[in-house]
Amino acid sequence: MQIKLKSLKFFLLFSKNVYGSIVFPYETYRKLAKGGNLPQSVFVFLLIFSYFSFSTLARNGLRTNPYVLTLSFSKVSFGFILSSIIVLFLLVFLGRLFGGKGSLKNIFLPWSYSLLPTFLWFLITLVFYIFFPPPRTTSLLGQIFSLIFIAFSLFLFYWKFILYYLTLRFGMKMDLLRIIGVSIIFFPLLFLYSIVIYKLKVFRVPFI
Amino acid sequence: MKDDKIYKNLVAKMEEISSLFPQKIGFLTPHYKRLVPFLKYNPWIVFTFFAIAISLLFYFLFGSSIVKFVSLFQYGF
Repeated sequence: MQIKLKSLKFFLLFSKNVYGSIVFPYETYRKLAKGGNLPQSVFVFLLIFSYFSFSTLARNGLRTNPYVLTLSFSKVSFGFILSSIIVLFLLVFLGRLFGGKGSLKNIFLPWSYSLLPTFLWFLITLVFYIFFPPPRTTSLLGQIFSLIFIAFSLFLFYWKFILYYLTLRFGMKMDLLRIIGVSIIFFPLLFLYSIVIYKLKVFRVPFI
Repeated sequence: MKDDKIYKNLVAKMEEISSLFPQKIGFLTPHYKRLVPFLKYNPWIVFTFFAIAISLLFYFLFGSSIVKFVSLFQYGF
């Protein structure tokens, strides 16, 4: 009973913070960076791993051998876990290098919630892939679809970017100039890492 | 005074706000202060505006070749 109540409490907190991270992200991230109520992040990861199951089925087909499906799911899940560990430690390391004062505990929740735009982009792209499979044509409908796709991708990119900024701002207690400094090193490293996981056929677009 | 709940909440809020130094970026600070309120509350309005504006700009710059770009990204999931 107590476990159920606690789960409900964390779920309500999760829902509140999801809403907050799009409607009042500064206020929400300030609270998230305190590092309390860490179990609420379970719901973020549940969403992500549900997406991985869905994408594995969509990529391989429903009639594929379960062993192949398990292998494919394990590959993306392992790729995601490894990427998460690298990104988290890199952010803390670079943050401290540039004078930041936070720790892994402060950065974990803000960073987890910053995965929501990524999750939504992948999920919507997958749904589009199923209902409007590529390649697109240059017909009027094809062009309108392309415009909508670019607009929604940009929307999620801006959201992701502001959450990344707030993760460092509140999680590591850094100012804008230091965050720019961290980003100058962080993004090229991320780009190199993305090439590696692309070559290993884990992700075409990195799930970061 | 120390048992006053409102006072305690007020102190907690003050401590929360003062835990970070105000953002200062030299001569750009006033512009930063003017811009940030748009991102603090309902930033999705700004995001939507710029997402539509920039996607239209892409369309005017690259024309129908955006279709190829989107086709490529559709395999990205």
